[in-house]
Amino acid sequence: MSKYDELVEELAPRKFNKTGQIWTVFLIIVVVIGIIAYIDQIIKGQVVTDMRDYVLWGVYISNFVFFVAISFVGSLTAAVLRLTNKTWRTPLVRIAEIIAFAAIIMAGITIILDMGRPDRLYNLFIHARLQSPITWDVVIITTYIAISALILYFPLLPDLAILKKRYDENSILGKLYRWFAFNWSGSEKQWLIQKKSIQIVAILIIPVALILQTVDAWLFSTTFRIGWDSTNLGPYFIAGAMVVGVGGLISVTYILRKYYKLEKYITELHFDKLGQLLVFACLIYLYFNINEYLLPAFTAPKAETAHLNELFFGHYAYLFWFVTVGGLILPIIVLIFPKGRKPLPLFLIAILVVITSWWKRYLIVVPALLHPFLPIQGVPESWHSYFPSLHEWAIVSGTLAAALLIITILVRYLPIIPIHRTAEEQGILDTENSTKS
Amino acid sequence: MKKYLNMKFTILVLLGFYMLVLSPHSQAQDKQYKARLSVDYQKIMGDKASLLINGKFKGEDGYEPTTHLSLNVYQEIQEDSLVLVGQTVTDNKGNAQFDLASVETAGDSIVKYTYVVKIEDSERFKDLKKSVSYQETNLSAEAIVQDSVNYISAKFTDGMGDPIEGAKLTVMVDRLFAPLTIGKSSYKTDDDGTILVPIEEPLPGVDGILTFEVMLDSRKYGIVRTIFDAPIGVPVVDLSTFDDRTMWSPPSKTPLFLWIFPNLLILGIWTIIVILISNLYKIYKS
Repeated sequence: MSKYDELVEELAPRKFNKTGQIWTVFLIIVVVIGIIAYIDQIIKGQVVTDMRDYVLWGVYISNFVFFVAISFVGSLTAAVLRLTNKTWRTPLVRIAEIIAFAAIIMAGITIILDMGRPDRLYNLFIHARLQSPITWDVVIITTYIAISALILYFPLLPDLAILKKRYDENSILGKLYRWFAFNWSGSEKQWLIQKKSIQIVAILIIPVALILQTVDAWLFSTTFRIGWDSTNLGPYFIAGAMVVGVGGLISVTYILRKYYKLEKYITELHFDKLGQLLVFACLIYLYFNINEYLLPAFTAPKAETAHLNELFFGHYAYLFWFVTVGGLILPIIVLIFPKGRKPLPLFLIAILVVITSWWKRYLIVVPALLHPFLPIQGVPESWHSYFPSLHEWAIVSGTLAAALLIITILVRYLPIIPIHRTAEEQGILDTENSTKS
Repeated sequence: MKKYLNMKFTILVLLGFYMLVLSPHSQAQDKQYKARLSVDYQKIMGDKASLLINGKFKGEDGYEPTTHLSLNVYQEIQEDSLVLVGQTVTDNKGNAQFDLASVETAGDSIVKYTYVVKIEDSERFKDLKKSVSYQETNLSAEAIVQDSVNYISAKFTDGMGDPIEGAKLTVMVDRLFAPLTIGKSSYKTDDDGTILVPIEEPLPGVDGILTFEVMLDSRKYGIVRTIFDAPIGVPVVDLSTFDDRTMWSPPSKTPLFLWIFPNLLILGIWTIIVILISNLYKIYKS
């Protein structure tokens, strides 16, 4: 067996072992529970949630913001690494693109889950107001889904052409790979078009990703509400998205490396680089956090002070300090040391970062809504507090599981490390069996 | 036996129902209350004169309006000689207004007119009468300018045109919810029967037009009002952005920059996406 064949054998998608199968079944079960809860929510209405007149954006929107955030770095990292032509990026970009694609798909779906009348989705389009950040969000998410799909798909073409040869022409997988390979033969013209397209989409995704995060932030900051009404919110969201995105990338990369035994391709160097990227992102995000909380603490009007007190010392203090220390300060301390950037400690930190990032979005959305604009008398007790109901937890868990399921399915059927490019970099390209670059 | 018991039980239930529900009700229907009436004469200059009637009675829940009560209105021609001039019915608040335009007034203008309002043959209320007397008067008012200061000048005269001294007039200007009193709560007419009230603060009005009202409320003359417009206000500047293109207007009034730039951006990005998709087709075809 030639080196090239060995490489293809190692990097081609493989059937799941028992652990993989159990994992997939588990995800499907969680998704099904989420779907059942959602159907019940449609039948009974949003009364099954804990959202009331005060907290009308609950865990669904914080979950949506989380998905949007995590989709950011997948594309951005991939695009930046592609454009800067760093050779070490090869084993990471596709994983990043897969995460981004799965996350942005689920972000779009989560918005629909939050709608009381999803059957009126078309109203968003036919009655769209260009002044509304919600319209901007609908437009930019749709655009980002398209671009995420393209940045994932173009580099896949040579690999799909390689994979189609591994299956019988009449088998389902063989047919699928053939169809998706789009007659890829590796001709010079095809390479030229593909490389140009990747270049364009890699450039295009950077401003679109920045717009996506900014629009997401504007959903909040364009409302005159304590905790949201901040000019800082756009870059604050971008920095936060970088943190959770890199955290997500590290987590998934570690698990795939372990599961598929890819230590030969995804080395400690990659984790070290990702660790550096994460600590850099955490530092930037910490800077914006200081801006977001410290300055209002000095200049705050009464309502802002009440909001900050609630976060720093009040009902949400435990969660706030867990998120701040666990999601920012601890990662910075651990990751500035090279030992902290070894795969396992980095993975543990990354998991912590992802979890705290999810709760961070919860803290952005919920406590701000508990402070109404005007004092209202005789407000029902249920309006004063919010914690997601069982329906909400089931639906949110379903969306998170669905995102993981998309990633799982994609890594099952697509090569997570680009085969052709790796072969090319290793100088073992089989010119007969494969294609020229 | 069982049938007999059932019948006995039914009779008892019906009897109890009558005693508990129907009987007190019918008693209440039979009871006649003593009503109270208040009658005022009101004259709006250049418009109409009417009697303002309000009725109430002390019911089980305190004072209640005499709703839908028919009242007879009489004019006293000579002492103890009453002529029925019409009927009126109170509304849900116990109020009624009897228009005097159809009533021929007898006697000269210095004669005292007397009207009597009666509750007669009512099932709910005992018979009652209430009278009101007034003398014919005239109230005129206008806005004038003296030494660059705006004034409201009003003159109060009797039916012969002779000034009435010492009558208390109130000057008001119409505002959105209720008239606003200008200056003191009332001004006494001088020996010419006039008052002169300065308007010290500039008042806003639509197109600068203000609606003033001068009013007299006395036992002797009733309520006499005169209402007039004067272009002495500060024109209200319409600050509404209803017709403007703003960030809070409907889609048809989107600000132009929001039409141009985001749409250019969307068009630009999607054009590139379409080109990229067409590149896929090119790859497929080559």
